[in-house]
Amino acid sequence: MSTRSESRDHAPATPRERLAPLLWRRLSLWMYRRSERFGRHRSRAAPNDLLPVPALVDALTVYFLDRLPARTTARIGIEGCRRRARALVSVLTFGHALVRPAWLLARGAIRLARRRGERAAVPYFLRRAPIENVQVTLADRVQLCGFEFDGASIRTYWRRVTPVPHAVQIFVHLYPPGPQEMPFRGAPQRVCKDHFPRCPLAEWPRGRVYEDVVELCDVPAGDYRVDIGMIDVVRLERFEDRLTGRTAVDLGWIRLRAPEVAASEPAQAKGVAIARG
Amino acid sequence: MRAASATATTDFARLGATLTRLARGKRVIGFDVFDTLLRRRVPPEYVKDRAARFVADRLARHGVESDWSFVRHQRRELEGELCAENARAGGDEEFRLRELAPRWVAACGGPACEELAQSIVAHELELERLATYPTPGVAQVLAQLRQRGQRLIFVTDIYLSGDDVWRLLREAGLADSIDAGYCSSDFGRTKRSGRLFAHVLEQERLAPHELLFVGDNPHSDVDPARRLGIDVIHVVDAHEIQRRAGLQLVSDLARRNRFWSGTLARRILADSPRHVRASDCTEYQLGLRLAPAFIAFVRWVIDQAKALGLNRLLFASREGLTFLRMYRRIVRALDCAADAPSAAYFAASRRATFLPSLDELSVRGLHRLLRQYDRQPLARLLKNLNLPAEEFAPLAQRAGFASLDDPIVDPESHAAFQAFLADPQVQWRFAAHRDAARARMARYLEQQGFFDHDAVGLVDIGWKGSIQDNVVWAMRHRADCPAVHGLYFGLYHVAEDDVPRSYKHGYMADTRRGDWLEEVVFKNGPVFEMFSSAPHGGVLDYQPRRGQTDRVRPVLADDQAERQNFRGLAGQVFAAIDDYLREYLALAPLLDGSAADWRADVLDQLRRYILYPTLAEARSFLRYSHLESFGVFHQTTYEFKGSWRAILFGGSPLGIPRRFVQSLERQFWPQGILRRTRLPLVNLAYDLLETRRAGRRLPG
Repeated sequence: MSTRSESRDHAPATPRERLAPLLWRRLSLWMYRRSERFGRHRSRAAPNDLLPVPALVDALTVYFLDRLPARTTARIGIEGCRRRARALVSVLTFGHALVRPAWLLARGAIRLARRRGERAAVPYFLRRAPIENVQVTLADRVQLCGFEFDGASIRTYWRRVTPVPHAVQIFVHLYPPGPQEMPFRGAPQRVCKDHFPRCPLAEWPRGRVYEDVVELCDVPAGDYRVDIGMIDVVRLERFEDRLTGRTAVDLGWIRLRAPEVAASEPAQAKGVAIARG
Repeated sequence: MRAASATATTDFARLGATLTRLARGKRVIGFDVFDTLLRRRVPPEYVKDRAARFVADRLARHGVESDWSFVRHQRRELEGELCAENARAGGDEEFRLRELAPRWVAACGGPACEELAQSIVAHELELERLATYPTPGVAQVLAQLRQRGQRLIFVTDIYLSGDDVWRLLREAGLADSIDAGYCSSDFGRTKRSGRLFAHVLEQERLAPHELLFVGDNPHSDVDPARRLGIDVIHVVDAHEIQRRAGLQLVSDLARRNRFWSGTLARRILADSPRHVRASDCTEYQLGLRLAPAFIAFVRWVIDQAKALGLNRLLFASREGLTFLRMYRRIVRALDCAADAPSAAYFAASRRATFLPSLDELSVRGLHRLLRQYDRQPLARLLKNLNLPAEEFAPLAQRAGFASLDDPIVDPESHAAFQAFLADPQVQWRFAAHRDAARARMARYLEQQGFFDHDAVGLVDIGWKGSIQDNVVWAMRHRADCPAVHGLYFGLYHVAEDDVPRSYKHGYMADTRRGDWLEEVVFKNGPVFEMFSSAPHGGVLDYQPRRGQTDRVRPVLADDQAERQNFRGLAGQVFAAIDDYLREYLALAPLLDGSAADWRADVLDQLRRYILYPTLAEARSFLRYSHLESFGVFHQTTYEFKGSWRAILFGGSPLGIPRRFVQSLERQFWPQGILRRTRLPLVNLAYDLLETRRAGRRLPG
């Protein structure tokens, strides 16, 4: 005969929830659910893919029912626990109402201080781009305002849209026309001019334009199509142009002339931009 | 009749002493059954809900489609009708389950089938059996009373028959102590009206003062008995009231919000466990935390296999072994072995499958490897590809490699590496090794039944699903290559790796859904990998079996450090997972909710562990290690690996927090490291910082 008399009555096998982690999790959840990212997730997700979240009052009622002394729980019952949960939620709501103006004030002060700081001259940064012939925003974070080709280097002008926490590299790829081999190293691939910005992207001041210069002195003469973009080196993901879905900006064709030809011509004529793709 | 001479109130802890005091001079002691002799794991209505789902399911098999809530409503109506009929016949308001079952089927539009009615009764009795367990300590109390020669009886108001109640008591190990039993449904009289007590006094030939009754319900156990002059012990146990209130509340919440169905299941399993130990060991507690997630995952695999029409499941090593064992046991417990696809273990690794998956030895072909593990020296690259270093070393030297151990920083512009790849000898030798490895892998897959079906499921802990990619890349040229569905605990989807007829699905996390909350799984991936991993070493290759040239077997690595890992602390984690699984298997039919329903609660629990670990949990993680068998070959440990000097003195003092956060982001489990600092609210600050960033980072 099977018997279950050996059942034990002891504390729950897993430790009970503590109040602090419960509240902290709810706080970050509340913060996330107000974000743009969650808005997009909600708009795209199937109804069953959206994680259900318990009402805070319910979660706290269960918490009180578990954590209050048994005699108290037996006396006040579920309704008593719910009343306590509602009271705590009211306190939290009131606290939030008090903290919010202080937070708004602090945020305003921080923004003001930042703007003042940004007025000071910062190396590598300009107040505005001298040329704005591209205007492509990558990953909703960085805007490529324009570019210039002076025969020996490509200058690009970038503006930060939102902060980027990770290390980011600017890639500049030069593709020769057709499938023929590149006239150096015997490699059939593109010429890569990938580099980190002189100032890390995370530190770019808002509202300023970063001027990036890529020297092409070591690239053999010829026509090249130029692709440019940014790559998050932590995630190994390229920043994508949301409008086109492309991960590189095509700057079109440039012509690099041989140094001896170029030497006899004015500096501006060393190379010319041919057309934008 | 006279007023009761004594009514004592006590709790279960003091029940024995109270009985000893009050039982003197009593000929018989009567006990209420439910919530006195037996406790319920679930509220009574929950059992009826589960029974209604069963009826709806059985009716569907008979071609009658009806929602379970309609079926449940029909039962409520019928119970009222049957009680009224019994009252009109001169009895009390009571009904019998066996009387109810055929009428219930008929009321729902089902066929008049005796077999169906009997199966409903049997199922409900089984649910009652699972839902009840003996009140702790009551068996000893009964035994003491029996030793003193007391006659013990039970008196209960229930729609089950007396025989059914006897069976429940027998299962609980209490039947041997009890001499007789009186059940309201057998006599049509209830305790609540007092008529069942009168019947008991008559049958037992007792005067009221010769009976002492023990019960918990003031309306049916205390007041009616007192009115007849019977002495009563009213059991009022605060802990039991708290437990029942908690169950009732969560059960009610689960009806309104799917989130709570997982919580309810966990509560039911944690109530009076038979297999799970009450242990303060951190590793054992960790196992109990992981077990619900793994069980829910395996249940999801069963559901997905059905939904996707998979005919065969291959559980990829090494995590797959744990899941395969769970799968086989859960399928048996849920009684769905006939519908579930056959399953087998698939010994595989990224190392064993990467070479067969390559079309060419080129930077492009190696992209999937180099993307994750950059700066690979040629020696390590050859090891990852299972290519013999002694054979390729002379060719590498000829191509210009000074040392095979120097990292290749930029493969595209590394002259020696490019020359090595361009060497026809290298390509020829590579192709020979690749083809041989591919043939061995194909033979192994044939042995595992991979090519025998149109659609095959590959089950693994997940992340990027590289083994699936490798297998499909290697076998995609074969006409009989099936569609492969990867079923993963967590999936970090990389779109550029997708291959035709290869599909991936993530349960707990899937980055394609774009929900940042579920990506918490990736913040401490090693904990899931380590504690679902099989105790054998990684798969290195496949080779023919001795004496059987047509069969191959996997070649397993044997590492001392790894064996040590499994013997030591991990053993406690695995023991807890196994204990919890046994607990689950014993009560599986009682638990409500699908794997999809449980996901929210399980994720919430994992968020608690990963984002806000206790100090003990964070410290215990330092004791674990993980052996990397692909890409890099070393033992990963989980202490802080940043440089405090660089953080503190690597720039402006104002930049210290930023440098610290950047350093944290490179660690395996930043939240664990923060917790170990013991700084107050530091985990909250980091969580809010990450949340703020995540909220601004839009997924593609």
